[in-house]
Amino acid sequence: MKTILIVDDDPDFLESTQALLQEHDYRTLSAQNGTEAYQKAGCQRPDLILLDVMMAHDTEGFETARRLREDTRTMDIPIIMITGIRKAKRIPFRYEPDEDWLPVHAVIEKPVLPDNLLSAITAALPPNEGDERSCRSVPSTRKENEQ
Amino acid sequence: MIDLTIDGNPVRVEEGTTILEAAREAGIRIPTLCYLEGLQAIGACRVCVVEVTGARTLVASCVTPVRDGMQVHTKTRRVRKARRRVVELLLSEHDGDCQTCERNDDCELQSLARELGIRDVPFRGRKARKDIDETTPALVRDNGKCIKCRRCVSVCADIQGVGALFPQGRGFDATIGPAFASPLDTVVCVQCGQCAAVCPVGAIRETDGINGVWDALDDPEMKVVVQTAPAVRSALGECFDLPPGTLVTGKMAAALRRLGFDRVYDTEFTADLTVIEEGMEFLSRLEKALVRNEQVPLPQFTSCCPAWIKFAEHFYPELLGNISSCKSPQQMFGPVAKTYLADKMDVPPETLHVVSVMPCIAKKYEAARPEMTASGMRDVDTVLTTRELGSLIKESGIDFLALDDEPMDRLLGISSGAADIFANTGGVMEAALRTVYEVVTDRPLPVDNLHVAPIAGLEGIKSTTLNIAGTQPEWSFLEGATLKVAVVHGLANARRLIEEAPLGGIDYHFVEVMACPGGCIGGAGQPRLTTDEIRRRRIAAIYREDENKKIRKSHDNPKIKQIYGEFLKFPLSDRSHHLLHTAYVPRAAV
Repeated sequence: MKTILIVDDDPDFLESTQALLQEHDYRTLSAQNGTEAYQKAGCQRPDLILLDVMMAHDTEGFETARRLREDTRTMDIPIIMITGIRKAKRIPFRYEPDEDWLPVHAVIEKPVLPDNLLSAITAALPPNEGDERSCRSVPSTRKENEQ
Repeated sequence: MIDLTIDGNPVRVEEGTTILEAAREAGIRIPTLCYLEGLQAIGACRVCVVEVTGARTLVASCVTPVRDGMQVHTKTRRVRKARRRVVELLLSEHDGDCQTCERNDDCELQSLARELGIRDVPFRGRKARKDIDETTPALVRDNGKCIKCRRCVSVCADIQGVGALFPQGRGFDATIGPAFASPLDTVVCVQCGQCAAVCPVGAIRETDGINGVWDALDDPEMKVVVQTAPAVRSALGECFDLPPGTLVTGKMAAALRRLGFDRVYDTEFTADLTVIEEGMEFLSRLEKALVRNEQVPLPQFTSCCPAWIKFAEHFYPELLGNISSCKSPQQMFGPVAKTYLADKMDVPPETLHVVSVMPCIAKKYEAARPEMTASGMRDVDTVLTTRELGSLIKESGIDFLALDDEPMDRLLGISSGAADIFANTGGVMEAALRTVYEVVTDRPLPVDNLHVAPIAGLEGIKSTTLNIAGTQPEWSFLEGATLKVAVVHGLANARRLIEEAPLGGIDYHFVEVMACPGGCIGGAGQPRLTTDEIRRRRIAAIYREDENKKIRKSHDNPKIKQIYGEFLKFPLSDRSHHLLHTAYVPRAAV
């Protein structure tokens, strides 16, 4: 059974997402801010992290993603960012993974339909149960960023 | 149609054509000096004289219309002698320190003397008195070199609608300058530098930036970063005899690295940033007006052009609230470099020297404005014109034409095609519309190849409308709206647009103003002499640069997303306001 760490400061989102994932045979952990997420990810090494952006401050999730990527204990864990920042802050673009600064597997916008979330999780998790974690890596985004 | 002969060749032209125009159409060269295509034909200098069979005197071809059956002779002994005499008299008065003059090898008087075979100046009359005016940040005037052609007078009054310069006095005492021979800083001058762009000699030029750049490059304590404006890449090649409209982006980046700049960046990065900030400011104004019924100044005017800003501060202070609070891309780059970039480079900002290369002279003035210190120090340290960069490259012995293309450095060197077109009249508006329309509807701007054709080209005042339908829920207040936009270039056209507006205000939502004809590609810092044909070639080159980019919209630039995600947080945030926005100052109109 795969373990997914859900990081969000919204208790309702945490509760509903946990229920959804458990229903689909995932084990869940939760954290309500970046520091807690970092600690839990380091100790319990989930298979995947769902990470909110706007928590204690507007870009906490971005910073948490980078911190997780810099730590050898957590650097291989895929991260899916789930955020409502674009609409909340009227940002005229969609964030996307970027090897220079946003080392995540995908960015999904809230509100997210359950099926879309489950598909994104399946796509981000390693294909086979027996894979070594060291084989798991974030796809390179270099090509997307170069002109 | 009129039939005539020029040097025995039959020529047919439309009625009202001048002899000079007819000769040019027929490929016959008549030298000129005070004449300026499309702007000034006053017959003052007499260099363009020709002989007309039956006429008692020689006539100035730039002001004489053709007549049926006219026989024109452009190269007779009498004509050659007269032209020589005119130029000899100009040379006798001219303070000609040619070897050390900034215009050496780029001087129309010098070229003319060579063309006419003048090897001696037989007259020993009074010399014009050297009288150097260095009172303004961007321009230096030297009356000793002035040949009273009045091109600067015409461009200042007729193209820019400013009128800072006048002919005064008579004979040897005649001068061209501000009223009562006052220094330039005591009159209304918008520092656009178009006077320097059309001056045939070294009487008006930009203030020197080259020595400041060498000082910074030579200082081992300093990290020197450079930003290059979009228009520069379409014209720098002309300094090295490449045809106008040759794109030299890659060679320019390579040359800047050879010169010793630590980082080679692009003002286009902050042009993309300008689109985001200015576009969201525009939508915010519309929302305040339409949803909250607040009194918000509309139309919003663009703010990229420092000469336009100064023009509005002098003549239209009541419109200052209409001008976007966004700094120009040059001035966004400065504080971004001295905060965000300095942090990434891990250097103290006071050891970072920011150089910009601009097609513009007014940018020197803009960088010196006291407001432009958001980083806690001067944000942009030294500004070079395109011409000055050409000189710097030559001085350093770099074989520009032999350089292989190199890319700009990452992060602040990454840009979209929308940023390229900031160089062209209509480009800032088109770039903004590419983003604003897509933000509101989540669909690309519905025009061919993302180009808004009605606002492109060299017509002085252009306008178009854009219907908005299929809005996203948060922008539903714009559903069914018709956006009216206008684009002007040449400040006299801005004056026309403002003063001829109907009662009740200017009937547009968004207006782009650029001071120089053609936009920044026709900037006063570009290689001389910029004609409409050269403007068209540079404009076409810039559109090519845009179309060849994979990313053509500012909001798709991944490094713009990065700077917001890492640093600015979101458009119009407190940090954005502190670093990227400014305020304007009403100034006296006389």
